[in-house]
Amino acid sequence: MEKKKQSPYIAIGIGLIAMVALPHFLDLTALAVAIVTLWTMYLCSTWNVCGMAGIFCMAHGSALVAGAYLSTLLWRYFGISPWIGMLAGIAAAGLFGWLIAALGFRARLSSMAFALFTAIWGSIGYFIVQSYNFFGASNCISNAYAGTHVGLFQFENPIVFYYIILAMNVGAVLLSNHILKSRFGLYLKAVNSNERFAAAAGVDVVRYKTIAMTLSMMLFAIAGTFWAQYSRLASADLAGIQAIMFAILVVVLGGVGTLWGPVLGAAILMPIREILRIKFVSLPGLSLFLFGLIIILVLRTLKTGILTWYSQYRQKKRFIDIASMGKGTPHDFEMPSVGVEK
Amino acid sequence: MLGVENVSGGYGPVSVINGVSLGLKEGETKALIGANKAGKSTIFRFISGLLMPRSGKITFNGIDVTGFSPRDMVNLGIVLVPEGRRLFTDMTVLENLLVASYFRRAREQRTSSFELVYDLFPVLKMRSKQIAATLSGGEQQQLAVARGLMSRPSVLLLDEPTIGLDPSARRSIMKAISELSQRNVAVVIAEQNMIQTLKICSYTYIIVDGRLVLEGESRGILNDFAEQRLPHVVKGLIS
Amino acid sequence: MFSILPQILVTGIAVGGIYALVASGLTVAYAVTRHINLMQAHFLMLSLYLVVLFQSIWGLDPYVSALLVVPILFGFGLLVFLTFMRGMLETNVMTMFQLFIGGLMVIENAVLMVFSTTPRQAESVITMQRIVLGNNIMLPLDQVIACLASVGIGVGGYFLLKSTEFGRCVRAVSNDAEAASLMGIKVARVQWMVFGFSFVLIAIAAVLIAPSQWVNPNLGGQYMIFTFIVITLGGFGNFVGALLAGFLLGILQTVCTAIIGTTIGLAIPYLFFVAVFLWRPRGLVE
Repeated sequence: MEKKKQSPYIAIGIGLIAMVALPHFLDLTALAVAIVTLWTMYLCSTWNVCGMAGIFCMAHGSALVAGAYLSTLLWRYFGISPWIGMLAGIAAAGLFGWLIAALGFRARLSSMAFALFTAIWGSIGYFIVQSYNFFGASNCISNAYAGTHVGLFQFENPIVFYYIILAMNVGAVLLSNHILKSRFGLYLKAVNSNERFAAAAGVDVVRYKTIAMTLSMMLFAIAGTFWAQYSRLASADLAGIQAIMFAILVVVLGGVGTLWGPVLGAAILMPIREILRIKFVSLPGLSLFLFGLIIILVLRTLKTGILTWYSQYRQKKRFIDIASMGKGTPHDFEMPSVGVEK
Repeated sequence: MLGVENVSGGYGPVSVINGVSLGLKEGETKALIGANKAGKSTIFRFISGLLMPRSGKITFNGIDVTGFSPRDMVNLGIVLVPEGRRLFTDMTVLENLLVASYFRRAREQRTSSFELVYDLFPVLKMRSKQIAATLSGGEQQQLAVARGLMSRPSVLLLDEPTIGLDPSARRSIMKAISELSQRNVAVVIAEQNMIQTLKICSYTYIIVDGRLVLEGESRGILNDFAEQRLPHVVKGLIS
Repeated sequence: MFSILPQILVTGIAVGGIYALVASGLTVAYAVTRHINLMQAHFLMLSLYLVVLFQSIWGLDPYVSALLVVPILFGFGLLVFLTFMRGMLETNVMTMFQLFIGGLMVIENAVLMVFSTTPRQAESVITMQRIVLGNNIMLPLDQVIACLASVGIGVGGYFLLKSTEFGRCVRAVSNDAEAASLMGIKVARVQWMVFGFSFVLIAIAAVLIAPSQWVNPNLGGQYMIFTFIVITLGGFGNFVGALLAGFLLGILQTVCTAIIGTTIGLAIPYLFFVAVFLWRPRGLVE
């Protein structure tokens, strides 16, 4: 068993070293692409916390906006360091998430109704930011500050941002791993597979779902602040439905609720999207058309995410193996002999 | 007429039913007795086409009908009245009965079906315009059985038709069921309660944990029970 | 002020009628398959493009091209059912959602590739015509037609569901599909017919708004949100609820836009939705 346990760690270690070394081989454009990819990957991993509990939440755009705008505004008007502003963003996002959870979960909505419900709330964030001049209205708030200033979350060299987002990703994966192996994760899994059974078994469904959602939103706020600092802009597009829908798409295709699903999904889908975009730039729409077809094909064939499908496949094989060992099915046992009268 | 031969299967990789065989002839009323989760409903699902058994055969009048869709089974004349009644709660009594006789064979005989059903269950005629959800438990169960009859079955499978009913409701259902054999409808009743059911069924199968442990003439089994000659596992089913 | 009230009302019902038609088809399709066809609004956009296409190729008036668009959309309904729903009905909501997102992308971008982003409109012979009542009341003819048609179809659909044999089957399947199959009903057939029918409603809605609606590749997304608000307000699976909610929302939106102004007027449906949702999560009706 020792050998089997070591191989994932080796692979992970190699991957990590490669990721750390990577930026030094990339030019500025490629580095920008890498940072965006890692940023999206972080969003996917943190959204997955909701996914683990089967929570179909689309309100996270508002969390991004909270993180981005609060840190930027506090810096612009009060000179408060964005690191601290980020904490304000986290708090606001957490509060918002808790609010939506409190309203949504108690209303006993179906999955789809809840998704729509959260999407509306997410759009409200977009709406507010777009409409009021305080938030820059249709313009974004610029955050330009030349030079490097660690205390103010400003770095001239984008490579530093790369390492920060890489560290955030590692943190997200570690956190996901910790959750999945903890009792909390067990409860979330139970809620995910069947809420009614979980509730009957005594799991406080509403409480754990609320915790998961609040946590997920808070982690998103960090990404919002990061983006504001990296792009030196706080833009309303962060709250747009596109970003969160793509993140959810990636997670679902990779495998919701699994540890590496979001990472795998992002690692596969983002390059595909970029390659399609670059290759078919001549005819607008063709790249996304093909991308859509790919999504349809994958989901139609696998009927679930890649890693989820794989683990189901392995489980089925295991049962087939046991059955073929001639010992019968696992729950077979001998009945005490009773005469069958005719 | 109906044959279940050495059927095994379940809901996943694990078999809930193992090697069960039953038989039914025209006009017979048989009982399938077992505790909760013993597998009675699963066997009915195999017969009615809702679930495909992993091994074994189901035959009807000599034809192998294993794996036919529920719709085909109903067309052949095998009708299941599932546990929990599963009424169309938003629709009236009349509408429930109409839906059950939608397919052609049943639709052609609708008038006589209504006569039969209102004759056996007069309360349904009284409440025909009432929404199904507003009926009492006993009336709902009667509607469930009536629905099954509207589909003109030659084999009627009743899954726990008297569970949760008060004694008078239970008696009226049982009375209606015993009249069915006179009209040449073969019936299999799945129940947990043995004594009451055995009184109207000529033959009994007893199932424990997915296997048949006992079968025989109901009268014989009732005698054995009275004389304390029944195997231990079966005793727990008597109430 | 009062002279424009009839106009506002007619516009409101016309606008609401479109929401009602699209949403009610969607909600019944949900009732029998338990999955929400996210692409519904995008097919409205596609139908509009078809109307535009038929006019540019053959010079057909929108109302005439209904004869072509309706059967084509029925075919699309079958296609969507076969591609997206058959064999997938036990899949969970999240996965189906993404599948539909893929479908959305395909439609939006197919339309983008063929027609580009330039807004198009199909004109009808009656486009600029008006009905004049009394002294001051002028009602655009196409809106009057839209009102009457959508109300008529809504009522017709209601009776179809309530009184016909097939309508009863549909209600039975939406109540309990397994029980319906135990009564000899071919559930799959009910499902694809309902699906096809919901697409027919889309085609009709498209024809009704064609004379006054400019279509661009983003139209699908715009109508999508409203469709969802309508089906949520009406209660998932509730045909009458969706009809009423659609008309209500249309009237509300038109009245508010006329009184308050466009920007906030457009926000009203969202706010209304949130308010009603918190009060009655299961929908306004039942």
